[in-house]
Amino acid sequence: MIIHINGEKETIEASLTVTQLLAHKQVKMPDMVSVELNGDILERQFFDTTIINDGDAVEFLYFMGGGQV
Amino acid sequence: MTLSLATKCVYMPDAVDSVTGAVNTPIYQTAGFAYPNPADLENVFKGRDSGHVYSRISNPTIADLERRIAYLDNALGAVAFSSGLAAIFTTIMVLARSGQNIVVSNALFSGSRDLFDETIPQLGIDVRWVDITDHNHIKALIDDQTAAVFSEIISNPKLVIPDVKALVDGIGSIPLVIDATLTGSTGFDAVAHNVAVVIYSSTKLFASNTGAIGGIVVDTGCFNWGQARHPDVRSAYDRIRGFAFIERLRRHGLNNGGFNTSPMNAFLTLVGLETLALRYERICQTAQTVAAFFDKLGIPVRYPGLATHPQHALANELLTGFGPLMTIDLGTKERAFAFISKLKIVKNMTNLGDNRTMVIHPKSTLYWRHDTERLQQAGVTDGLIRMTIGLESPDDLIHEFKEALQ
Repeated sequence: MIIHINGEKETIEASLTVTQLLAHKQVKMPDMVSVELNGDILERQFFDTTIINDGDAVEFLYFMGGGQV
Repeated sequence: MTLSLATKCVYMPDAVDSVTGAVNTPIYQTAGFAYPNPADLENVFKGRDSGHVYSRISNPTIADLERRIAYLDNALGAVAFSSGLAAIFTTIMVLARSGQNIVVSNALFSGSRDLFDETIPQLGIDVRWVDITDHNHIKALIDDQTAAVFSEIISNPKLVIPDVKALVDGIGSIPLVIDATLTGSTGFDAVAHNVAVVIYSSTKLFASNTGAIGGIVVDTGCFNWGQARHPDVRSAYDRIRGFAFIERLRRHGLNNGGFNTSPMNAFLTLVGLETLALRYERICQTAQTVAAFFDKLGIPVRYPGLATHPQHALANELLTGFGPLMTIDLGTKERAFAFISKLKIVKNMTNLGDNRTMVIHPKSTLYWRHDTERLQQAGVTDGLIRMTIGLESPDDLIHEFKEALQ
């Protein structure tokens, strides 16, 4: 299925959770990233149970580098 | 399976370097990080990709220390600072703004007392001192502009212990900030007690070898930052939810303030953490033996592990082990100095939670500037000696103390 990650179109396997998506994208510090799903910030406790659907827009927001998120 | 803290001191998932197999975190002794592709650096700056750009803001060695502490504490996250006082200063700066107030225990380490007496008020923040065991007074001091309540988990050197459960219940939607330097992650479970923020001077029990100054702020994940009194934190909560406090700490304390620790100090602290649980257990056992020795001699000794401590029952309920710190009172400055002068194994110096046993005469050193009221609040008298127990044999320590008392 096709989703958008940080504005870029990507093809991923169906039925991935947010946690699995973070692993799939090899996010180096998954405990230091906020996830916005279709415009709404997703609470961390729902990462394991929230399934990414076709057409979803996912934004990873990191705050290690120095940016103000 | 939930791992014990002793195991977590030496094991963390994904801690081994996936490229080289190194089990120790490398010391990334670099100020900056190069990105050949300008778009990649732009993405990291804008928070759209993970990475490090400048070690004032973040660094892989320091990030590993932060991750390790958060893991030990079962917490949401942690931020490392150049010292424990930098950690406290940044925490208060993030939580409160000019015109607001904070309620602070009046039994504090002298350095923290000076920070709250002299520096925090310059930010326009009203510091309201309180006996942290007086819950009615705390309640009376709190109003709609109270941004935080601050206390040490075992106060230094008075050894006052806050009733954390009653405090959390009593202050409601105000974050409780606990300085747990004297217990480290091993002696007090902040998450289990719903504490919002924990601060450690990592110089002490974590690094433990008088080799690395540092401080850590831990967001336990127990507090809803959407309820923060500072609008800046609430605004961050609207953007990133649970990470609001950590992000503001990094922004104000590291990005803007430059209170970062060094990769070398982070590495030394990581080395110390591996033996934290083992050392803490040993230190508490020896401290109990030494405290009982002084008690048996009839010398006034204050230690939470003794039944004579006024909050011994609370300490038993709240803590695992009773920590490295105790005080004895020899009555006069002259007797205290004479005792200290005879010590050889035990060092006369400031620091605590170290591998070495140390003593200090607080009134002539740490508290020499403080007036009578502050001395009383801190429990400092003419003959008081603060003692922090290390890893030496308890028999050797007691032999040395016996000789010094003669």
